[in-house]
Amino acid sequence: MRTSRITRLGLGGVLAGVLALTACAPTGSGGGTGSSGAGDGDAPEVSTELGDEPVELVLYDGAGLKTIDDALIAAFQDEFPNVTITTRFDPDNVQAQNAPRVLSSEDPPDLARINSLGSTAHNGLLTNLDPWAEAYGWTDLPSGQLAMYTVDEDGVRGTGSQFSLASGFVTTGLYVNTDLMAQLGIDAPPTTVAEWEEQLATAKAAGVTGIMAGNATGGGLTTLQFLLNGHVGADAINQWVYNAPDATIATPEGDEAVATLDEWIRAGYFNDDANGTDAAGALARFASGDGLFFASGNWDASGIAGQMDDVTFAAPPALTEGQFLAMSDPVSNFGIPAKAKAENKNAAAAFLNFLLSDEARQILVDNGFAPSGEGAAPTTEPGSLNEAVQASFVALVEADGQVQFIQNATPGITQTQNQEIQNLFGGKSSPTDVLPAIQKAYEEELGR
Amino acid sequence: MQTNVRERIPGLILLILAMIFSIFPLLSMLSAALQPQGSLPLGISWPSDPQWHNFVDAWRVAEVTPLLVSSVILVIGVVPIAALCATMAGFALGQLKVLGGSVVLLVLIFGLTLPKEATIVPLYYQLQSMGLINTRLGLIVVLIGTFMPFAAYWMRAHFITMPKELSEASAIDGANRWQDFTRIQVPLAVPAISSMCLLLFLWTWNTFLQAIVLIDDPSQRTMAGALQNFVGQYTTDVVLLNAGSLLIMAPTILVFLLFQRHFVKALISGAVKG
Amino acid sequence: MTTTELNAAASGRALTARGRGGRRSASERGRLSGWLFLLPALVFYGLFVLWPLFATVQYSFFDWDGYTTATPVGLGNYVRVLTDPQLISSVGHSFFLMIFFTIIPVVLGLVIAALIQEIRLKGLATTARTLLFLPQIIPGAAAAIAWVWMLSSTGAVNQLLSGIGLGGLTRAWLGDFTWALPAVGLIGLWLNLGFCTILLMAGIGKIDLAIYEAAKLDGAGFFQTFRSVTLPGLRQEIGVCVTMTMIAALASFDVVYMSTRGGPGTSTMVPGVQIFQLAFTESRVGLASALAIVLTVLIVVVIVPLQRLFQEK
Repeated sequence: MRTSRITRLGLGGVLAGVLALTACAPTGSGGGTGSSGAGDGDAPEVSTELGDEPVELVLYDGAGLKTIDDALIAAFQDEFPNVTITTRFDPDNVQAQNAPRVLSSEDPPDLARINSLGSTAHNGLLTNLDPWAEAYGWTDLPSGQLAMYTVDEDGVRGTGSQFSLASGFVTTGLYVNTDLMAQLGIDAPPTTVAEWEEQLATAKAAGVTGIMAGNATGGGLTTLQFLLNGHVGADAINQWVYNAPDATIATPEGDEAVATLDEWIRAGYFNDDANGTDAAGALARFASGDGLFFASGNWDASGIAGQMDDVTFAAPPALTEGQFLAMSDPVSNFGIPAKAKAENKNAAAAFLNFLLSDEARQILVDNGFAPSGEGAAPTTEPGSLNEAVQASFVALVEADGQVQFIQNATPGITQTQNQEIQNLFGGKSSPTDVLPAIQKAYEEELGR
Repeated sequence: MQTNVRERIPGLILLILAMIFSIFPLLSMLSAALQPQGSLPLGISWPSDPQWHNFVDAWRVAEVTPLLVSSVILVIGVVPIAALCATMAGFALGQLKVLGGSVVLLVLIFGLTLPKEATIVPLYYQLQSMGLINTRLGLIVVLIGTFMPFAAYWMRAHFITMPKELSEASAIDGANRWQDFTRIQVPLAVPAISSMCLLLFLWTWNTFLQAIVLIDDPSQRTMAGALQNFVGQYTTDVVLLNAGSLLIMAPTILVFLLFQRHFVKALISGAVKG
Repeated sequence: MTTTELNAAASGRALTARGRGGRRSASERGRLSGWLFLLPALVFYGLFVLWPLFATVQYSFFDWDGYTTATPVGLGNYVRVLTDPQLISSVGHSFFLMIFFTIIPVVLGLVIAALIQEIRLKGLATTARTLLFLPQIIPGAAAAIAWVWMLSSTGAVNQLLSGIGLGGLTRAWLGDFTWALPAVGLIGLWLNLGFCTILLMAGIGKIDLAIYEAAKLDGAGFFQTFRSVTLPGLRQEIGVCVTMTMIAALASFDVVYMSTRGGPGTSTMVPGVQIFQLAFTESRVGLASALAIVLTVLIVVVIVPLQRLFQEK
């Protein structure tokens, strides 16, 4: 290319300009400066009385939860006619990405679904809910649930001030094809891992897929965590997810769980094309009769019930007798952004409190989710899949066995977890590589 | 070139195969879209009971109407302004010998190679400080800027082929630069401009990343954003997904069908200039 | 009015003008006033492309999550980008994709275009153009959705393979460590084949028929004509095709993100998706920015020499 002198001069000028500008530091949107657990200094009096003045709130959530949120809002507005709540939904898979910016903007919603509670609270983006917790008595909630709402001064979850409240919970377990079960001569879903393994072997011998897994979207992690829960224990896992200092998932016990999963993969207990099947595909195939077990949660209940009659829901098999552990975390963990309008916060807190009411709990159950708080068990259709799911959840709460999903440890950890589980299923890595790789990514992301 | 029939048959076969290859996925989407909702269709199979109402349902579930309006607004905002700026710039670079024009051209061409991910995060904060975040206007100006490299280059490529004597002749006739531009150059450039506008329309309509990041309110984004509404956090309905995708593609396909002759004419217009 | 007539008329007048000596000042004015024409385009481009680009360069020297304070890390991010084996392999993947995004579409497009010199049936010509261009019209996300489903273990591709007796080859293409990347390439091939074919067909139409006649008179057969007449004549079109598709391969995002998101494992990870994940999912804006800059440099380094190859007169 023949470049004239002018061209070269011009380009040189452009380059110089670029270099000069790179000296300056980037400026964020001005949200949060690393202080932890910021309170709201200029808030009006914390009150449980909303008065008669009209109040307008904005609620922000993921689009998949629209039905539930709309129902909750309608019921809430019935009880508090002077409050109007408008909603803003982002598609689910971008909601988590947009959340940090939405929360730290100058005009955030009054109620927002919080994805990474620890870092969000630590960055001062959320209102400290302790005053309302006192007023409303949230401090009496089951400790396992409170642990999901609290963050301490160092950004570690599990204890400290309350920053959120869940609209409801998800719960996990095994969907079992009762028709296939009968055909294979199995009496009941497995209660222990040993039983589970036996039943899987029986299925394999008869040419039936044991566990239908949608590993293209990380479905194998559900089974992995069922095993991890037993070997590693709820406390250790919850600490890890809550980012406690020195928490690690790469332990010999953890490796045992991975080793078991690896054995099952080699033995052919999963569908061959797990890596090529995504969550939706796996669900559809299980619902059409392919697979004895489907490791998943209540969110698939209505989809499965709609296509299958001979199915039931069982708790994850325990490693040792008497253990009852299952992943269960908030459907939408709602918080009040720190920069939301101060005069709206009482109304927002009232909405949070409403989530614990019988009415709200029924709405959650009617939509196939588990209710927040505690109280009389909401009604379900007898004999329905939902009934089995709710029963499992009630027992779970009683046994205080709610374990956090390992996918929630850090915002970016699912990337590595999906990659590792896919590598394992595809035979590209050995069982002892998986947890160390996840731990490494975890530490990098937390800057440890 | 006269070729005999025997030599042309392999080419025809290849062409037909290529045509089938091109339409194959769309056909499979159609066959999936007509299956009962919530089911998992297997391969391509014309359903025994085509569920045409799936399209209606998909339209409703994804709230496509506001998205349609939004995309139209965005197109109206982006295409005319971008076309004007690009034509003017192409004229300056291709006809007038602007001082430093080759520098400008290089800087513009550099923009052609720039991946959109390279600028999206700073753009968010920039729009925020300009007060344009979450507004269609913000997205519009961002898109215009993004399209400038290609559009200006395209118009320059056209103007370079115009004989300089045209402008000089009109200058002698007493016309100033602007009149020369509007009365002589632009009318001659219409084929190039119209094919460029077609491309700009397409790209605006199909914008995804910038729409999602720069506008939080889903009903103010583009049609492409609607696809994501189907992919919920916990379930995916393959049938509705396919129906919705076809609905989203329909407007662009329609526009292309209407204007494809213009577009191809522009590509082949070089034939006359030998 | 043909160009030659225009030229004749104009040059006649120009001679007169030159004689009058007013021409030099007119062109001087042109060089400066021309900038007014350039200004609007440059304002948009500068504000919304160049300025953010500078900002990305800025960010690349810091460790930042996007909304709290940033810590300077000098060249740390760049070192990371250039030494991390996963990041290096993702670059390798995008080069591999070029086989499907660029090489095959151009070659096949050439073959088809060369074999179809002129299509007698007007209807066929229009239908061919329409169908071949269709893949370019639809959003990349929709294309990926269509192909993901077709490439699944119960999808149309496997259905086809079984139908022609190659049932043994069926698998879940996008979930297979070896075949996922070629499968993604197939999607890219689908997107680009029509575009290249049409462009090359139009290009062939531009080649002066007289040259073909001359070649025929010299007794040149099909392949010789192809090599000495068609190919050189298509130089510019091939150049455009190669450039645009190579950029698409290197900067690929939509297709990979919507089809595999980089999986299974990291077998289909490409820089474009990596940048997005680093910036938006993992909130590591600094590292993402550094990767974005490296990617941009890479693209320029690959594309610029190609221009020289294709545009020499």
